[in-house]
Amino acid sequence: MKYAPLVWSALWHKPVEAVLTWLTVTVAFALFGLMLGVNATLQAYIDSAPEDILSVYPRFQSARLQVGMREAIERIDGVSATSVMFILNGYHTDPRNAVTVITVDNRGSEATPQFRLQPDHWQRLFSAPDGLYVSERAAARWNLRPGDTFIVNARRPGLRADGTSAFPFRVIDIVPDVPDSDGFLIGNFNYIDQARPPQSQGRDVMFQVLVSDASRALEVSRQIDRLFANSGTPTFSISQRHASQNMANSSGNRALATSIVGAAGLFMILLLIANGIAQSVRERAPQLAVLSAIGFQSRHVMGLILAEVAIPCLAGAILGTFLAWQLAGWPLKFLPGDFAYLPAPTISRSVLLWALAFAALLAVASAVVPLIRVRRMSVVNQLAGLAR
Amino acid sequence: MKPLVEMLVATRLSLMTLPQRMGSSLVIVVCMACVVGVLVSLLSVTVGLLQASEVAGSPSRAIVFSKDAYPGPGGRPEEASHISREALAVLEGAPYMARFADGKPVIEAEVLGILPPVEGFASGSLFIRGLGRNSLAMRPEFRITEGRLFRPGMHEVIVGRGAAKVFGLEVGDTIIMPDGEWPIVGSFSAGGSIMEAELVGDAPTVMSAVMRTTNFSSVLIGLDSPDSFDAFKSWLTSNPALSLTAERQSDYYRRVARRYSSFFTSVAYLVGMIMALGALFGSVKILHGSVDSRAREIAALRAIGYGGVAVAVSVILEAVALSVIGALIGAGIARVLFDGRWQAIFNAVFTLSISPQLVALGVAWAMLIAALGGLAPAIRSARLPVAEALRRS
Repeated sequence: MKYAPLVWSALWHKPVEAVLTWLTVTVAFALFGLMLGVNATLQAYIDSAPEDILSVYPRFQSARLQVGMREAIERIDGVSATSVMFILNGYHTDPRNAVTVITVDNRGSEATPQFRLQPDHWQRLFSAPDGLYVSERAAARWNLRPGDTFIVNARRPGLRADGTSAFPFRVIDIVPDVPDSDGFLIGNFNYIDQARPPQSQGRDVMFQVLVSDASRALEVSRQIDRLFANSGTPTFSISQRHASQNMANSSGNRALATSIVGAAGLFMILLLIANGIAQSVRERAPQLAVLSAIGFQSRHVMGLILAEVAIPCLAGAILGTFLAWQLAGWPLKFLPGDFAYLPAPTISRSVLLWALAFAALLAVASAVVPLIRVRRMSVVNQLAGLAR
Repeated sequence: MKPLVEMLVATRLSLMTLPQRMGSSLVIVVCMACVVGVLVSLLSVTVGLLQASEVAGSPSRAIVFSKDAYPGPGGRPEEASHISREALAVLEGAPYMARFADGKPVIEAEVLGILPPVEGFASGSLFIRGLGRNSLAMRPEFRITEGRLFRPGMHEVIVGRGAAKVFGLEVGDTIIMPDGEWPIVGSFSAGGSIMEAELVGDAPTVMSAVMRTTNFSSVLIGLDSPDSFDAFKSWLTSNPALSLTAERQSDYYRRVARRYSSFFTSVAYLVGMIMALGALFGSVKILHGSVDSRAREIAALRAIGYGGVAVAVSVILEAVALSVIGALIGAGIARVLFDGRWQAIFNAVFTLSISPQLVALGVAWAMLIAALGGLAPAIRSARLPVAEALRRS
């Protein structure tokens, strides 16, 4: 603490430059935090997707999978449970308010553990045809409470046999969210299926398959696809982990892009800070010589210089990370609607810790040359210069 | 005339003393190189995507698809569209169509499907397009670059340059289709358009393979003049026998591209703005220090009669000159690293493009940052108390 006044006066040796340095560091760490946040969020999105659950889609758009295919899938070695699903894509009140309801049949409780619904939840869902479970985030977005009616208008024409498009649901309960998801709504498959024209009932479905051993997911997916390869309904099966990976990587090589941008930002401040501290040490060399002359050890003087660099770096890292947190969701507003379920970057505690670690590293790297100069400085020459 | 001469002399002096401030000058140059390099690299995605879409469409061609076409994630309306053979027969008699030399209308029905990854968990999907007899005549930019064209009725395809590059497909490879493996018999270029990201085969054969036995995805129509589009669309949409709509082909591809490009543009400008702000603060700091170190020199100029404005402008011009050098270096590095590289994004495959216009944008961006960053130090230099500055050691 006794050195605090010395550090403080060194920091404010040139106030305008000090403020500008701090602002530069803050801005650079805002960028760095954003890049780390994007990467960390997408990685969490991938990691949260289960590896042992396969989604089975039609291989071609015109191939309409049928409910009857489930029995054949269940006979495959390694399959624990299979659920039939129909994804209702629609909107609520205004076509711009896109909403997706995942409807599952009565085997959903076994093959969809990722929603973490309890057996009594499923029982209540299958006993109420128009029932709907809404996750907390989805409930907040649509302002829903248990008992509310929620009308979803199907986008697909001709989905209902009566020619209308509205599916009224009754909210059974609000359930916890799945980590790293943007919220979900779960309804009853039979409710949708029975409203469809007779010739379409039991068609256009997809399956969710629970694999007994996650390490066999690829093998089982190939078996499913092979089973239907030469049928009229060829399938495409993929584990949810890999589907998330594909989705997260669909916007290009994000790891490379974020690394380049983050590195460019850090390189910029490294140069700026190194230049600033070198100039500061040059200008204050006689002062530092006086400190040495009155008994300060070399390591104390070097510590003062390091503190002079580290304080704006660490303060900038903290404020910059806060700024990144504020800016994180902005680019997602421009994401095409069909990719809107990609999670917004979240600036977690680990991002802040990384930013602080890089700030410390940056401080050390930019202070290396001035520290060497101070170590080699001739106190006598500097004091002689001061005397002249 | 005098102020201009003063400005030039002050600027020349300022630039001549740059070697004495080599370290801080280099910092400005490198910072601007980083800012512009990153901005230009990120914008190259948008430019590449828009260019590829621009080339794919022509204002004198109309694309017809069903009114209820809703594409899936990453898809195009064409993919979800259904046009029956009966509707096609009606379309063949449509007005405002251009004619081939033999008097037949310039019209062709096409089919577009999406193939999932070849093997279980591989990433990326591939479009397959079925072309009719007239399709190639309607696309003069289409060239076979290796092998040969597919034969009508045969289970074979040709691969676009982009798809070949990104998905590692070569002439001689095979593609897994529901009815067996189809050989790739040739590769093609299409003037750099997004069609180069597709596999192409014979329309009726592809239709049966992707189980579109009764309907096409879209119909491409050559108009007798680009101005006929509105009249053609009006005829089409008012025909009660057809539930179809049309879009100018150039507008259609532009719209498809913009669904994705707006996201990348916003990311590029967000990152560019943050970096620019950092560079702005950095430039102010360095120029502020530079005015301090040149205080005596500036005061001497003022003492012999040079105006404050001339000195101030010289400070800004120095910053602009350094920034332009940095911007050119940054844009140059980005061009060497990324220009012409194939990229697959949201099911579109195209080459990144760092065009001269993009480089100019980067340079203008750097000049703006420099001018803003130089403003406060420039004002300070103009207001420097002459007597006090001359006394400084």
